[in-house]
Amino acid sequence: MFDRVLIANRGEIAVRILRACRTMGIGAVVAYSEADRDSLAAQLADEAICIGPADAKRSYLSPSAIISAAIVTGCEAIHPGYGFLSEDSGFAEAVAAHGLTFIGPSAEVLERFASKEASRSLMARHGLPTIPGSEGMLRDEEHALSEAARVGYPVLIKPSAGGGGKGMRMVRTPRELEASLRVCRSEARAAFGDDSLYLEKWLEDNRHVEVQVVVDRYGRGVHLGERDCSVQRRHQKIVEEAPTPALPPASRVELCDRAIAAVVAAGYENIGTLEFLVDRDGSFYFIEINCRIQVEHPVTEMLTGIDLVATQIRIAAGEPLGFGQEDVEVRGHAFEFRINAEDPAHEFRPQAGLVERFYAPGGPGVRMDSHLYAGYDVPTFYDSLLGKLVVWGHDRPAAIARSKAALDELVVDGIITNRSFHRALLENAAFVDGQVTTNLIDRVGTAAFLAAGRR
Amino acid sequence: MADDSGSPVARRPQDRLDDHAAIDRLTDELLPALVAKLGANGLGELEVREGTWRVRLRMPADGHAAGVRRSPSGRQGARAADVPRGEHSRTDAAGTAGTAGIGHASAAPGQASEATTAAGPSRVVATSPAVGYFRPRADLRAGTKVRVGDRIGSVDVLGIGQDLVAPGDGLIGSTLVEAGEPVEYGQAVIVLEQLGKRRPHAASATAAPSGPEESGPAESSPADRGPAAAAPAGTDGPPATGVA
Repeated sequence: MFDRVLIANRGEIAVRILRACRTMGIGAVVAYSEADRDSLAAQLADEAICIGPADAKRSYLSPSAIISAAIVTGCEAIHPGYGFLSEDSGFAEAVAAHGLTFIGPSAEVLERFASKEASRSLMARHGLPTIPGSEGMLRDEEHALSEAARVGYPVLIKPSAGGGGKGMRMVRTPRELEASLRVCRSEARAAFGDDSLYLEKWLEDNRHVEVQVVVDRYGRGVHLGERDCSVQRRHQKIVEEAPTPALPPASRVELCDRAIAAVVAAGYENIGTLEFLVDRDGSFYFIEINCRIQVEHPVTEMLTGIDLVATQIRIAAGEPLGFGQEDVEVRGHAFEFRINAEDPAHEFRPQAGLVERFYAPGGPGVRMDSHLYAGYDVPTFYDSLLGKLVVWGHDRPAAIARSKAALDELVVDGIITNRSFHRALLENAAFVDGQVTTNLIDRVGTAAFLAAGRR
Repeated sequence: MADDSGSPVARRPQDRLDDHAAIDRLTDELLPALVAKLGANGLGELEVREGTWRVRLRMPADGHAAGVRRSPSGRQGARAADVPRGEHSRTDAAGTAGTAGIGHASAAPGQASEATTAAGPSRVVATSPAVGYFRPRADLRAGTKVRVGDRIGSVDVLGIGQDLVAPGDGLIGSTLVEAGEPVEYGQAVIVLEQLGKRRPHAASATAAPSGPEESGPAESSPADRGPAAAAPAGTDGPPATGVA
């Protein structure tokens, strides 16, 4: 096992990784940008080192700054967290070239799953159903039109690289397709430096269900159940839960069993998440794999009692998994609410500034992963995630009741958060019935949503 | 689909590219040159326009100590003092294109401290441009005279040297880091003693709120981030590039 690990990330996930290191007796060094000098992670760390200015390009996205920081602080491994360089095969390769361990899949595995289109056909070869879509990348407009006609409208234009909804458009007619193609290309080029696009059949009223997998270096893998991430606004997840209310228990088991079998056969390693769309009939289609720890990993931790970050570190250190599928027990129901510095009343505009008061909720089954403290100045440079409220109950209604109490107890003064959105969601009939689809919030509109919550 | 990483503020891709190019040019070429000019000629204010961008640097009218914040727990090394939020407004760098201000146009720290020199006898500190190992220039001794922009050492980042440059004219004073020791970004490395005639203050009308410590040695780390450390212009504005 490592003696010392460099945490090359910020915010709540830096604190989360730090906690995993502590419980494992590993020294934790936090690499921070100038804007994060006063961050909780930098304060709690065994050692903290400034790697560059606020601009992420010269700090959290700079491989040389991060690797140099790991070397001068005597670390043996680098944990990239999520976002930033976490799925960058070039970075993973550079880390290994300097004799350090990248905590995640190897560069070769990251490379294999880097293209969504390529991973889709790879996983299809290993028995996972995929959404009907274009054969390969779109060559030109003519190719796009003929492929769309073959697949059948509506279709979703998707970039091969990246995520977060950039370069993505749903189109219903050939005319819309023609109009959107160029926009998607330039968006994808700007965001990911890669403008290759493909088409996918658009499923109306779909749900987003993902399977957490854990595979050691010796090809032994287990799944840790699924999560439902259908509560989204503009392709951004807001609330996650497990188990999914979209599928009966038998289908859930089938989904997870097929996912772990396929991913092990495809040679995956370390922890990862396979994302699926589930349609109205309960059919599921593989869409992509995320080769990193995810924001919503605590939902699975609440149900299984397994520390996913610690498991990730153990696998990277070359340890065998040490448990089998029969040892994994999924208990109760859990939700995760992403607490963002956003103003729901004003188009979820990002907020920044001084946190005057912060009280985290508590009690049985309540966990708050956050980097907030009273007096913390939320910088403008990064994303708006302030923390995650994770709530467990023995069943879904119990978890909802606890969630309401916990959200009411949460106090963040000085900065506007999306708490009122979550509170409205918990009163929404579709949510309470477990019927939320990925398009619900955008279709209803957040204003109507919030108004309904106040009644 | 929904990605874990935060998404940038929604803007047209071409705007983003243009802004990134402008920011790169600004940080790499324009700001260092401007800061050097401002420090050398003792002018109060400089303004340069380029395309839709406008950069204005203003010398602090009169300085009193900026708060020196010490890190609360086990951080290593001395560090250039922070100028609290809001006092960065001495550098007024704003995009006139109607997009966000140049939030990230912070100059390299080595250059940053320089503009604090113009107004009087003082010391300035050369700060590390990167994380790595410090290598002093072999021919420099305490008392050696250096000019602004001179290479006075380097920081070895994975085998590649990054220049540590003199932030102002002066004499090499104490070196705060041993040769071969690790340094972090922004860490104070070499103190320069400056010869002290006070220069006339121009632009006294632009009463900048509180300038950095300029006269007399500050006890912990005298290097303030001067005007070139362009923090977000208008600190509440949205980030120019929300990369996360």
